Amino acid sequence: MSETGTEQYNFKIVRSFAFSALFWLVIGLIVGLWIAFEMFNPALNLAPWLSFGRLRVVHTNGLGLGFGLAGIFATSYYILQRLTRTALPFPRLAQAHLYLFNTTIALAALSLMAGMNTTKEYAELEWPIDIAVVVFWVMFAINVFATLIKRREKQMYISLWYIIAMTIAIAILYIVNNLEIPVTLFKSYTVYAGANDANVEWWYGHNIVGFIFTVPILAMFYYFLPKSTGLPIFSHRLSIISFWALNFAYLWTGAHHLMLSPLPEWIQTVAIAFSIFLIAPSWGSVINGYYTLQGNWEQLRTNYLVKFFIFGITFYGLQTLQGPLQGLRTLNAFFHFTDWVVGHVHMGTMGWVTMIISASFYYMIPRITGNQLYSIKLANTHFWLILVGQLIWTITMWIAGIQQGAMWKATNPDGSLMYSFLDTLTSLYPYYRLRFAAGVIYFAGILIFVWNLIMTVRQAPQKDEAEQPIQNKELQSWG
Amino acid sequence: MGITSKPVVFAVLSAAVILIGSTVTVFIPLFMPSTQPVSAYVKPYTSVELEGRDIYMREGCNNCHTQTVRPLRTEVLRYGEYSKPEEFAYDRPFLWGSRRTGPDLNRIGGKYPDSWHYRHMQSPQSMFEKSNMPPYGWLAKNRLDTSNSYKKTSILGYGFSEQDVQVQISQYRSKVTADTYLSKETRDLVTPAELHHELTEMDAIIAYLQKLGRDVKNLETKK
Amino acid sequence: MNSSALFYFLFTLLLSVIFGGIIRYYYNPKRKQKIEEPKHRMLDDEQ
Ligand code: HEC
Ligand code: HEM
Ligand code: HEM
Repeated sequence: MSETGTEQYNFKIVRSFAFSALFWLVIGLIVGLWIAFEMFNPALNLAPWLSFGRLRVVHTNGLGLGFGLAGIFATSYYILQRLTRTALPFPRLAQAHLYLFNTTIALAALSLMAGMNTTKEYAELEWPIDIAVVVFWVMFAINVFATLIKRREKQMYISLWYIIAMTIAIAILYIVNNLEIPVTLFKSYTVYAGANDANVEWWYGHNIVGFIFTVPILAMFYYFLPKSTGLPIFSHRLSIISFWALNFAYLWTGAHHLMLSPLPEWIQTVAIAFSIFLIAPSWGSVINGYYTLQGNWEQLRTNYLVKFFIFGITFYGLQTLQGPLQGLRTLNAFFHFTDWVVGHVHMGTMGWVTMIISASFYYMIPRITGNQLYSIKLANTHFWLILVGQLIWTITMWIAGIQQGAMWKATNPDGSLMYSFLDTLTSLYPYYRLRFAAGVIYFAGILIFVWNLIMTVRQAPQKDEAEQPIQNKELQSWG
Repeated sequence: MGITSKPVVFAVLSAAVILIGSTVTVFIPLFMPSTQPVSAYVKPYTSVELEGRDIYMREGCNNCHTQTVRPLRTEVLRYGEYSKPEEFAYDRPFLWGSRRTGPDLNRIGGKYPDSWHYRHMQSPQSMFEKSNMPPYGWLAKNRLDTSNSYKKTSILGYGFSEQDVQVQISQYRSKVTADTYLSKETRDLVTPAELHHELTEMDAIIAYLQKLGRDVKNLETKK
Repeated sequence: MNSSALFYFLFTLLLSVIFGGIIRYYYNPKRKQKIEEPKHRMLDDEQ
């Protein structure tokens, strides 16, 4: 392809991954609504494969691995080519990556419903699927590094650092945590026992959240915010400090998920300390985002994309304050195991993650299809629905969590427990109903999002589909 | 300008930075016996209990139930003695859980007779109208598959011979199918007639539940 | 101070010094222009 000098960016792969992400998003949310309903009315446990215990992991994997990873692949393939001014070196490999990825996620969902579940959170998949995940990850990594090595822009911009860090970290985390000995094709046992298994698992669990729901989302944020506003990021050097501090500190904090458990106390203490330190690099990115708009805040009204970015980074900021606080021993003793944590999770995923991925797709899809966005008005409706849905969802869960924690702890004057376990649970059902309703609002917003993008690509293209030649000006070496 | 123009160096440096915290807090503790101490008072699962544990994992009970009692006053009051590291030496994987929609189960062994569990697993709502625990009646309709039981215990290093495993299985079968079994009536009620004389998945998961927290008493008296 | 407290203290000190060093390096006014350059270049990767 490259010999003729008319190298083409490959945006077909971006588009395919973007629509894969939307597909898994819708599936994952339907399952989310299903389990949210089961939590106040067990009637939906219609069959073994629809029972709560099996479906909950379909929800978390479908959205984390299906929606999350596909969104990350779509935006990474786009950002990589743009920032390096280089076409994807191995387009066929990327195509194979797409097929393998979607097959793997489909098999993952089916196998989880069939009960093939290692029970290690966010690593529930059995060993053959683990191998498929590792293979598609390597396929992705080959294109990442080949593009970077061939690049025609000397310095790597911030987003590329985050993509590199993610590529490496997930490979390490995934392989170490999933070391297991097969019994049959469908069953294996982990190599770690008891407290060690817990420690490895939450080192993985916390960081898989970090390197799927934080690091690559920051890569999107740092790229698409400046691009869609036309404003350079406030400070490149602040982002350098934040980047290294975040990557260094993140890996020490897994044990804040194991507070007051039989895990050795010093590991827990170290985790608390680093969790608090994490506020600094996290807020480095928040500040960088806010200050980028300095003097141009009117864009919040005039540019529909800016809302997504600014609300998204605000939820990220809140999330990274709430996280360290609930990691403190005394607060964690109260909040651990309660609905409070579920609220924390969904502010991050429904607020920060989906807001940023939504805006990134709205920016990319029109550009790679050469079409206008089908409707900005619908995009605004989408924004308000997911914002309101998410706020009701999470606030409800925080209140539920406080009530749950308080009722578990409450004692009578004679020192006996005031509430039975079931008293507490049934007092939470009204909150679970409200959460379901909020989920429906959010889901309506997501359907509008999907519709808007489908209509965008289905319009008659204004430019010839997808491929745009790379311009050669400004490619002189410098620096 | 520095490392931001050298992707390979950048990647290596990222890996190094990531590995420091991982090594100190995770990899080194793997090789410290104090992280997961062992005690002769804590016994491995029998093969029937282990099969039950695998069903517990298959059904994702861990998504609603924790298995670790924290050293907090009200928690000990509610569930019993707090969890000790020795208790988990044979747990691969650990099943401490992260969400407590249902009660903690680390001390469930011996809390109720088997008959209670048969009824409860068959239909939690028949005992507690408002419970949101799914009914698991189908477990009693599935014959327990023991074809890999020996392989499983040997992978886990429990030190049973093939014959030990056979004996454990047939002993447990004799126990729950005998006329003298105290929970016979309830068991027969939830189990289809053709499986009355065989082991079901329900039998195994109940055997597992009854094992949970049994060894901690010995562990405590020793201390 | 017992030995583990001393160890924690020294470790924290070491990390703080490294952290401070990195900040000083990147916030040196001499390097400002060069370090900030990519943020402008990325804006025109479309043409
Ligand atoms: C949707 C969440 C949910 C799932 C999934 C679930 N449970 Fe429960 N479980 C509960 C709730 C709530 C209670 C308390 C009310 C009751 O006893 O039904 C409970 C109670 C129990 C109890 C009695 C505890 C006690 O101390 O009284 C046992 C034993 C139990 N569950 C076992 C299981 C097993 C085994 C599984 C998997 C096959 C399972 N549960 C799956 C929610 C769940
Ligand atoms: C309509 C919107 C949604 C609904 C109704 C919903 C519902 C639920 C429910 C009921 C649970 C289980 C909570 C519990 O066990 O108490 C859950 C857990 C979870 N959900 Fe969602 N969800 C939604 C959106 C999302 C999104 C968009 C993501 C990710 C991108 C996500 C990721 C997760 C994760 C990671 C967990 C596990 C949390 C934990 O273990 O603490 N959810 N969700
Ligand atoms: C500085 C940053 C953060 C810190 C220190 C932090 C801290 C924590 C802590 C202590 C818990 C465990 C609570 C408990 O079980 O008692 C937790 C859970 C969780 N957090 Fe965060 N958090 C941070 C940022 C984020 C972000 C940005 C996300 C993105 C979505 C996120 C997603 C989650 C998820 C999914 C869980 C649930 C894990 C589970 O139990 O399954 N966190 N966090």
